Amino acid sequence: MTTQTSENLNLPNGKLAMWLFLATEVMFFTGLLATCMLLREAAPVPGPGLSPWPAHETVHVQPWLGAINTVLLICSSLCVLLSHRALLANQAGKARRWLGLTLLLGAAFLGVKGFEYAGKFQLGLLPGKIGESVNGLSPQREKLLQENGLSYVRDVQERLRALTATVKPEDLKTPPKEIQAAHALLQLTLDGKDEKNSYLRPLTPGQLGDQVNRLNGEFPSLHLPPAIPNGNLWASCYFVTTGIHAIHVFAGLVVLLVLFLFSLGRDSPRLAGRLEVAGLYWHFVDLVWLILYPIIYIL
Amino acid sequence: MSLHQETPHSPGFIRKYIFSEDHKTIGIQFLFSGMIFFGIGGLLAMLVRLQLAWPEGNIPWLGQWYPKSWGGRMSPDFYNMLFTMHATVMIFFVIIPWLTGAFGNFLIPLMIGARDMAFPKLNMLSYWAMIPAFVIIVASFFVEGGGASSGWTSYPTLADASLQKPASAAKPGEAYSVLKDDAYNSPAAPGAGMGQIFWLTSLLLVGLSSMMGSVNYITTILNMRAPGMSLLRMPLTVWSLFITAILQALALPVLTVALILQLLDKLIATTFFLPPGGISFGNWHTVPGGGMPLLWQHLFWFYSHPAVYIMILPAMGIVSDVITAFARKPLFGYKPMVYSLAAIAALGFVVWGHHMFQSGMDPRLGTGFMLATILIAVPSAIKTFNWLATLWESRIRYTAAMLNALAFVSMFVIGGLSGIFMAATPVDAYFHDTYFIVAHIHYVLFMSSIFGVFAGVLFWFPKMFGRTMHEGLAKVHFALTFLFGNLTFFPMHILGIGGHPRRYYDPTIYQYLEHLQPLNQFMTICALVLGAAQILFLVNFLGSLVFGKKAGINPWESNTLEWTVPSPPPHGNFPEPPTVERGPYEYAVEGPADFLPQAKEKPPEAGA
Amino acid sequence: MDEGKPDNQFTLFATAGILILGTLMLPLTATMSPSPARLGIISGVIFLQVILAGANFMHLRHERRSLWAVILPTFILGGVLLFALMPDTILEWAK
Repeated sequence: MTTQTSENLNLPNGKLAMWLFLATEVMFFTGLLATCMLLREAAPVPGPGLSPWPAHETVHVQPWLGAINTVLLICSSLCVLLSHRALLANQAGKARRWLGLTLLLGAAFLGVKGFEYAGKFQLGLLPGKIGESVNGLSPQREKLLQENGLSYVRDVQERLRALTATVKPEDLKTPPKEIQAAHALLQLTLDGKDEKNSYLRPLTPGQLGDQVNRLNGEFPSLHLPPAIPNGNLWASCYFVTTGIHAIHVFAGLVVLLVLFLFSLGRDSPRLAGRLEVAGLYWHFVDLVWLILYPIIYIL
Repeated sequence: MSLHQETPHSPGFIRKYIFSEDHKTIGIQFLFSGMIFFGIGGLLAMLVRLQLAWPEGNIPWLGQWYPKSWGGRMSPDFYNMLFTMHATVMIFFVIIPWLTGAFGNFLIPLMIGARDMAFPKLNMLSYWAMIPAFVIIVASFFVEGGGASSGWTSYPTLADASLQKPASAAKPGEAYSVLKDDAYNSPAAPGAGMGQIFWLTSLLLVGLSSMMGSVNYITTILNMRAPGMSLLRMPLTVWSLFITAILQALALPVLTVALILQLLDKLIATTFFLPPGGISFGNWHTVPGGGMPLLWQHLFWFYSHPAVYIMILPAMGIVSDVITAFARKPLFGYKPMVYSLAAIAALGFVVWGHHMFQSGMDPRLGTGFMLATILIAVPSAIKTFNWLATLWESRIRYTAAMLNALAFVSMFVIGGLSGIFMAATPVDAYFHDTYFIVAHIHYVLFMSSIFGVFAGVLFWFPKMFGRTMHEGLAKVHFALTFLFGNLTFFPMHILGIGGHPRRYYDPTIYQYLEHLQPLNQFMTICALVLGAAQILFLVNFLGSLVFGKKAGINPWESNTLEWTVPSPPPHGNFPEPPTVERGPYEYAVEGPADFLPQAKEKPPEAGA
Repeated sequence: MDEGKPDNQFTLFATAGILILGTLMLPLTATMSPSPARLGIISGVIFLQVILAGANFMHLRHERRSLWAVILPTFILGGVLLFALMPDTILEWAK
């Protein structure tokens, strides 16, 4: 029979519980990140020579923004650590300053995140809103997509109409090349007639997507909504992983803010223990970012 | 409750019974709310059985209450909701809260000699996170389209697809947005719309509650044990609750991920569980960019298979304690019992694929899952044989609690054996999604776990409320439940071998099932009697609260620490921390009494 | 152990290590085309960073003896989840 002392972990309740909570968080983030990595690995190849996952330029992911956030989070982790050490050394004022700096750095992280999200919202890079050229669909399915599903065709048409509306019919003889191309593409999205006056089917969303991507490559100034193969899947993964992480950062900031307010009031002797437990959570959120950052911004 | 001796701690009524931080009150709260949901879940099951027995709708008396629009018989959508919600309520709102919430809260601090849980406030929150879950799951019956109806497993694409209005009905530019008033009503199935969203939200809250509970239990058991209470002196109930808490802590987050992803699929048109290209349904179409429907099954079963053990391990622990107390013999093989609990839990994490043999899974992977699953028979058999060896040549006291515990052991054997059929891939190909699996799950969860709960309630009722339940009534309830439970669930095996699929609304439309219809009707009648028999238990329980015989400190002459404090125990449990001297199963010893309590003898003047 | 004693040298080393590895990853991977070697470098950097962060910030350098029982099973289980999902779901699509 083993003795009592060797079986105890010699950890205070709070720290042990936090570690157990972090164990559940490890499982949570493993499930989440594994899901996203799997979906990415298994995403169907949209066409010959095409990448199944949108390139960073296509979806406007800037690795340097992620790098800035990495630095911000690591520095904030360092500040929590230094704040805790100052508390242990009975330097309450120093601890308060380090904790305040942590809050600022954490808020800056969320600010950068918000800047990124704002860009995505502006460009319409949101789950369920991205045009996709789905290949290999039966005509019936394409018809459904055209009629009911994708507003993509309508969005492109609107953009094309806006582009060509500024040009008066009499100027159409010598418009810029890109306007000519836009006008031509707009005609292709509508019911048309060919030279022999027989019916010409409008472009399916898939075909339109290919045309739009080609035009965007040729005339970047057109800013047509691009068709991104697996774009909605990318947006789902991007927003869910970074969003859930940002919620964790926010929760950590709230906890640290409460502790900061505590530290303003009285020098509670329990503050050091509480800060250590809250710090564990904060460092864990930081650690998750270290894994999330390469997955989203580098790979 | 109010009869216990006065302690310095005397909070008001609200703090004492509603927002209580006392682990005993919280445990009893879980017990009572579980009973309410046991009633709801039971009624749903009765309606399922009625439909299966008389699918044509000639149901006497009840038929007149059906809405006119159903045309004299139950509507198929309503039937889908019934079996979905029956399983959901019974699993997430009855068995898990009873076993981990009620017994876990009430017993852990008492049995390890602690004043309370490590985090009383967190403990209170873990119950109060359940309240919105209760409200939401009950409200989900009344939303447009009715409650969730995609089965308790909520497989995509049926449950997942949030389908949009046809473009003709939407304003230009809006067709792609699902954030519209009526977009949550999925045409895939009426219950797959708002009802499914409520279902997901409710389960997320249950998961939150379980997470807080399990972190609390593990910390309490590791850090708060009384002096001398080494890990291998803990009663098996505590061991089982400890291992269950670990299972919950590590498996539940994966379900949380799956629930969040499905919720987002429904709310903001993400595409995690939709196939590439999306799906069309009549005039409707989902977002085209797709993920992977099969992924849901992996994530769901990664939690839900360990959850099966969450729903049986605590019952095993309870039964071990009840059996030894009434067999008056030391438990046979204490350490193997502990290790087999741990082995079941560890193996439970690598067998989730056996729910997915028919999902198009790679056969090589299926073989691995099959072998791991069949391995679980080994620790399960160790447990069963140890229970039998404990009973061997013992002087059994046939109390109602003991009868229920013995029923657990025998019914667990039947449930375990039918499990081996399902675990073998070639056999499962035939039995998959038939009534054979329904028989299996009910033998394990109803005939085993619920008998374990009955045994536990009868055994610890004196400690919870200071009175004993009526023995005679409890024995009648046991006999009726045992008899009619078997008559209800055993024929399901035969139905399954006959090819009767589960979840079918009307089996009589298939000629090959026609000869089974009399059996279906027989089972329904037995199920109705079984349901009615539970009223006896309720009457006994509520009546004994008021009229029950007063119980002493140790009515069952048991060894564990909770039997050294008054019934019900005062706030703070132990006047002074007990010192533990020996293991929990020292029965059949020489001396004035045939048992040796775990705690060190108190000085004579403090003795009862 | 006596984690009250600040270990400034190690803290400095670990923090600088994480930051340098993180920033170096940018030019290193930006110049490489996707290949197993690139994936290996990225995984290696993640692994090193996580180890450093855990050892330094989360005090695992001092407390790993009492915490391995919590951490190890979790990571094994996470690996099981990560690994066991892979072949089946990929084969599902690759068929």
